[in-house]
Amino acid sequence: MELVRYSGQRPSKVPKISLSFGPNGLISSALHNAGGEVGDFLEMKLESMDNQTQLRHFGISTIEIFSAAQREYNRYYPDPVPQKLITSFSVAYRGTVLELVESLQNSSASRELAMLYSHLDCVWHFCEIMFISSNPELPILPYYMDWIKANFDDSDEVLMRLIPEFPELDPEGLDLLWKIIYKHSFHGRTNEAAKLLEFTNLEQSSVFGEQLALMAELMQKKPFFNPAKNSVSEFNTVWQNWKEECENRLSNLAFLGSDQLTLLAKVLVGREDGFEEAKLHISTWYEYLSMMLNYQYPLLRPASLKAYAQKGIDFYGDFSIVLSPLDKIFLAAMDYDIVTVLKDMQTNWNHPWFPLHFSDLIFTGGVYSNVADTRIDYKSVGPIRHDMVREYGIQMMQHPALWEVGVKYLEAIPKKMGLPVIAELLQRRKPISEYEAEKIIRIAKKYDFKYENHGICRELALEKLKYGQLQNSLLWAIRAEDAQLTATVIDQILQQGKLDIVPSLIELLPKFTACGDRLLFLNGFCEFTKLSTSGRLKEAVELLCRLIEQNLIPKPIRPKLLTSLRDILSANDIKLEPVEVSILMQFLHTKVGKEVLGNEIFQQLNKILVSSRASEMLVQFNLSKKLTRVPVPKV
Amino acid sequence: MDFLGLKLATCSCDKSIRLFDLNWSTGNQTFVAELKGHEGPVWQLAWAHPRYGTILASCSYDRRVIIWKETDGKWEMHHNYDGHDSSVNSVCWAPPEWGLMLACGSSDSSITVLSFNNDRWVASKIPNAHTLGCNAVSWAPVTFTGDKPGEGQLVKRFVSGGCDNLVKIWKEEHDHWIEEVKLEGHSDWVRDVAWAPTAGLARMKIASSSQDRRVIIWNNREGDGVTWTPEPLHVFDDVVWHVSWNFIGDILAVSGGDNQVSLWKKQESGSWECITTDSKSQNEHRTL
Repeated sequence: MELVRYSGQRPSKVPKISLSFGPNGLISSALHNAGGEVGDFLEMKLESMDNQTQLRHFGISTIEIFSAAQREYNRYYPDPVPQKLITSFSVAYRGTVLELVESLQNSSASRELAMLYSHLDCVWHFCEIMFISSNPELPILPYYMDWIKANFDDSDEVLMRLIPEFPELDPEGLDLLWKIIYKHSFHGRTNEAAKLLEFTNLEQSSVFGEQLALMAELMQKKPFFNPAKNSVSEFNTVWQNWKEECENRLSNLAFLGSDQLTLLAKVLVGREDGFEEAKLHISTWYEYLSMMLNYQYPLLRPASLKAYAQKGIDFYGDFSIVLSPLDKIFLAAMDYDIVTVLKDMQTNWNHPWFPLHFSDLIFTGGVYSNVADTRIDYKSVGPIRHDMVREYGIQMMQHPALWEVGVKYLEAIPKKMGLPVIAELLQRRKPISEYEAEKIIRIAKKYDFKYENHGICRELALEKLKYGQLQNSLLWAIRAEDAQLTATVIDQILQQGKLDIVPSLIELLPKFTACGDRLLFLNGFCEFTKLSTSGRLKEAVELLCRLIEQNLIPKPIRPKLLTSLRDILSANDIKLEPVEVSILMQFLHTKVGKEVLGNEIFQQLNKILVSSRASEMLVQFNLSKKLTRVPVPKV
Repeated sequence: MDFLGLKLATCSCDKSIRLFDLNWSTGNQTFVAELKGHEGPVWQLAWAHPRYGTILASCSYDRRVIIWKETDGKWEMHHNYDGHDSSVNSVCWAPPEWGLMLACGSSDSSITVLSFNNDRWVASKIPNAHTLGCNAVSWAPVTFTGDKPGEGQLVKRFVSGGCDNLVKIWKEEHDHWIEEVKLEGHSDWVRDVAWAPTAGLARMKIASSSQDRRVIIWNNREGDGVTWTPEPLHVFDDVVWHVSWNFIGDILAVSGGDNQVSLWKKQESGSWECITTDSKSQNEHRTL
C-alpha cells in the first residue's frame, strides 16, 4: 500500500490533537473527528503539592523566612552577614518543616507525606551542621549528638509511657528501660543514662546496686570538650584518665554478672567487640558513628568525618551495606560537595524546596559572610540557587492563591532572570477581584511594566463593560489610558442616559483628561451638573457655552443638555451675555434642531433666547437714546 | 487558546472557524461565533497579542491567509492575503514587541511575513524557503539584554520546518529575510516547530517534530542564535504532529498520530522525562 503524502494536508480521517497552553500552566487539547466537529476539550494540569492546606501554610511560612533573609542580606550589604544570622534562618526553616510534619501526622491521609518531610528535616539538619553552623576548627561531636537526638531517638516518648510504672516495672518495661539506657549511652548522653540506671534494680540487690552506682559514676564523669574552658591538650589528659578508669573497672570485672553493664563498659572504653555487640541495639550506621565519635574520636573535626563515617558504614554493615539515597547525600555533605547534595536532593525529592532555600543560605554565606569555608564550591552554588528560585517562583506564580509568593521569589534573583518571568506571568493573570487586580497593578507599576499595566486595566474594563458596570468600566479604561476604549464606554454611558456619575469617579476625572475628548466632555458635564445643583447657574451656563464652543458635546447628549438648559433658564432669571446667546442660538438651530429636540422644548428655548437677545437690544437702544438726549452745545 | 485563556478558536476541514468563550471555574465553553470566509480546510489559527485588540489569523488550503478582527462584539475580515500559490499550512504571530507581524508557511515552498505598518499590510516573501513546501513556522522570543523588559535585542528571527526534512532559522537583515542556520536531523518531513520562550534566560531552545516519529530539541546555549546542538527527546510510536511550549519554556507538549498527548520536562539529571498529571506518580518518584 502506498503511503500517500498530502502536500500541506493532514489525512482527514486521522484524528488530530491540537495543543494550547493556557495562562495557568494548563494545556487544552481538542480531538476533532473526521466530520470536522469539535470533540471534548481536555484539560491537563500538573497537580501541585501546594494544593493541600498544610502545604500552602508551609509555603507561606517559608516565604516569610526567605523574604526576611533577603532583607537582612541587603541590610548588611556590603558588610558580611554574620554566620549566626545565617544559622538562625536555617533553624527557622527547620522549624517550619517540623511544624508541617506535625500537622501532617495528625491527618491519616498524609502520614506518608509527613515521613517524607521528616526525612527532609533530617537531611537539612545534617547539611546545616556541615555547611553552616559548625566551626571547622572545633570538634563536630556536639553538633552530631544533637542531630542524632533529634532524628534517631524516640526514647523520651517511650520513657513517658514507662514513668508511671516506676519503680515497679514488668519484664517488658524493664526491657524497654534498658533499650533507653543503651540509646542514651550509645548516643553519648551518658548523664541521662546514668539517671535511669537505678530503676533497673528491680530486686533491690545490693551487689547490683553497687555496680549500677559505679557505672553511673563512670557515665557522669565522661568528659565533654568545651573550648571556652579547656585546651585540647587539657581535654586529652582528662579524656585519657577517664578512659583508663573505665578500662580498669572493666578489667577488674567490676560488672561481672551483668551483661548489660558489661556491654556499656565495653562501649565506654571504645572497644570494637563492645561496638559489635551494640549493633544489636541500634538501627543505623549513623548511631554506630555516634559511638565512634563519643568513645574513640571525641575531637574529630568536621573535615575528617567522612573517613570515619566510611569506617562506620563498613563495620556496621559488615562491609556489605548498600547505601540508600539518603546515605549518599550525607556522605556528599561530609565531602562538602554542596553541588551533589543539592542535585541529589532535587532528584530524589522531585521538588525544588530544599535546594532552593538551602542554596540561598550557602550562596549568602559564600558571597556575603566573613566565615566562608574554602572547601565549599560557592561559585557553583550561585547558578543553582538562581535556577531553583526561578523554577519555584514560576511554580508559585501559577498557583491561584499563592501567586504573590512566586513574585517574592522571582524578585530575589538577578533582575535579568526574574523580571521577564514576572512580566510574562503577571500579564496572563486573570484577577478574581478588583482587590487582586490592584495588587497586580502595584507590582506592574513597581517594575514599570507599562504594557502589562495597560493590559490588565484594559481587560478589567472590558469585563466590567460586558457585565454592564459602566462606571467601573470607565474607571478601568481611564487607568489603562486607553482613549478608544474610554470613548466607547462613555458613549455607552451617554446612550444609557443615566448621567449620575458617582462622586468618587467625578473626583478622578480631572486627572485623566488626557484620555480624549469624551473624557473632557464628561468631566465638563459633571462640573455643569455640580454647578447647576449648587445654584451657581450663571457659571453653569458659561461652562455649557465653553463646551459647545470646543465642540465636545456628543450628539446623543445634546437634547438632554438643552432640556436642562431650558429648565434652568425658565425657572431662574439669568442674564445671558450676548455672546452666550449667540452660541446657544447657533447650537440650538444648527447642531440640534427642532426634530431632534422636540417642537415644544425647541420653541420654549428659542423663545427664551430670543427674549434675552431682544432685552439686550432694548437696553442697547435705550442707552444710545440717552446718549443722544444729551444737549449739544450750539456753536 | 488566546493569550489570557478566555477564548478558544477552532478550525476545521469544513472551512469554518468557530469561537468559544471559556469559563474555567464552571468548565463550560460558550459558542460565540462562526467565521466563514475560507474556501478550503482551515489548517491553523493564531491569536495576536491582546494589546492590538482581538485579532485572529487563519490559514487554509485555499491558499489564503485571513486576519479577522473583533470590533464591538462583531467579527469581520480585517485583511485577506492571497499571495501564495498553494496551501498555506502555518501561521504564527511575532512577539508583540515587533508590532503586528505574521509569518505564513506554504506548500508553494515560500514563507511570507505580513507586517501592519501605517494602517496597511505589507508582505515580504521568502521564495524557495523549503523545497516541496513549508509546514510550520514559529517566532523567536525577544531576548532582553537590559535590566528591564523592553530593553531588547533588535534582531528578528523565526524558525520554519518543511518537506525537505529541514529546520531553518531566518533572520531579518536590512529589511530582508535571510537563511541564517540550516538544522539537519530529521529523516522525514518536519511537521511542526516551536521556539521556546526564554523568560529572561540567555539560552534558547527549538523543538521540532517530524513524520520520522522523532522530536528533537535544538539547543543554543550561548544565546547567539547560531550554534545549535540537537538533543533527541524521544522516538514515538507514530508521526508527531504538534509540539508546543508552555509560556515559560520549560515544559513541552507533544501530540501525535498515536492519539497521545505527553508533557516533557528536563530534569536535574539533564535528561528529558515525560511528566504525568497523576499526583501519586509524583510521590512515587520520591525515593527518600
